[in-house]
Amino acid sequence: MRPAAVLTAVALAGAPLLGAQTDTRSRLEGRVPPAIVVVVDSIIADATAHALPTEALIQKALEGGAKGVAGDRIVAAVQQLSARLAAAAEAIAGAGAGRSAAAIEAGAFALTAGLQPDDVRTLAGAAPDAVIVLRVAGTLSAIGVPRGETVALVVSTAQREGGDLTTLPQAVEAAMTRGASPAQAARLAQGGAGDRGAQPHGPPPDRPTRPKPKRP
Amino acid sequence: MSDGLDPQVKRVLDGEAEFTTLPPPLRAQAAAARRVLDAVDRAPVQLSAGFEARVMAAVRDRAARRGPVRRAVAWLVAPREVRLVVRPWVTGALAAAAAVAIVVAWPAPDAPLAAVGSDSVAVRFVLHAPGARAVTVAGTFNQWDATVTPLVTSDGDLWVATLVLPRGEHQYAFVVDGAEWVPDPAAPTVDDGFGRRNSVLAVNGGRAL
Repeated sequence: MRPAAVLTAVALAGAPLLGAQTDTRSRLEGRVPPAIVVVVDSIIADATAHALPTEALIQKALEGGAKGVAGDRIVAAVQQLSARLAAAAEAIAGAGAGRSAAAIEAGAFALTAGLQPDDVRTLAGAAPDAVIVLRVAGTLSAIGVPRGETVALVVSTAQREGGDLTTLPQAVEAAMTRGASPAQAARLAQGGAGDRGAQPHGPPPDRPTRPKPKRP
Repeated sequence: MSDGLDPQVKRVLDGEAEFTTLPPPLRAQAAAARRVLDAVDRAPVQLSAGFEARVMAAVRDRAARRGPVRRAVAWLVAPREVRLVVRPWVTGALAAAAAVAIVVAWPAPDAPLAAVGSDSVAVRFVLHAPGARAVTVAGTFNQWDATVTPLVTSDGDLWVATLVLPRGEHQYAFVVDGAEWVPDPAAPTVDDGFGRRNSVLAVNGGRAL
């Protein structure tokens, strides 16, 4: 291949990345300090190089700017989220599930909500559609359901014929408003789902559970 | 993530601008969104079991802290919106604030509102913020822009906005008077990475989780 052709091929291959960087910067400029735009742009470029979705990273930077957060904290939050995206991608790949952007973002959401990479791996392998499984699990965790109960409930429902994952958060919240703890509510929902045979592999009853997130 | 609606279209949907002020390319989008919202408004609002139980628990808790006369008066004069009262979040002018997010899911899976798509869901955000001068909602669906999605109020207490949200995990917070970031007490929350909490709402397959 001639040198000119090689240079042209390299330029064309890099064009999408350059375009993405330009788009990222244009979205961040005026919303976060200029020095932070450069740093966040480099984090996003690194994520792109690792085939990670970047929209959530841009959103996190925009969020920090909107909230008037100091630049170093914006960078730290974007880095933390990038690490979660990478962890989610690795866990999903480890489960043999499809490594789509939606699945990775749903996995990062689950991690942000309090689940661990091992949980994400278990959940992603529990059903053909990892996205819905991880979204529901993340929502349950955000509600305050402990990790073990969350995984047990979601996995058993996903693997049960006719199980409807999308109704789980409502069922758990309904039980909580009747006085059940998040863990109890999850177990009630699991029983209500008709999966009597499933054995929760969550923490033992004497193990303290994560308290429900405090609200203002 | 984005709700896909142009800010000018949102202003028209919120009644802040006339349809005729829209550029022709945006009119089709506005008309489609209006059809969706009209259909939602006509359809019975289906509240989740969790929502109803959560609201009723708050109502019982509030009632238990009132005397019988005040309970009777409150019952007689209370508007017929659903409210969830939380502890004061601002000392001073705002005595109390509470929020509910009423999820207006499609009436039935077989009756989708095609103008938006089967993966989208209309979500009504409601904030009870007496004394507030302005309320907006900012989140992943509007680029965290605290100026583009205002809530409207008719009585100065209850602030409302309806958004069409696409599939995905959305994080958001209310912004009161342009400065106070308030998570939705009626929704689950997660750490925002900045020392505060964001409300979360996941949309999957045309329904909110």
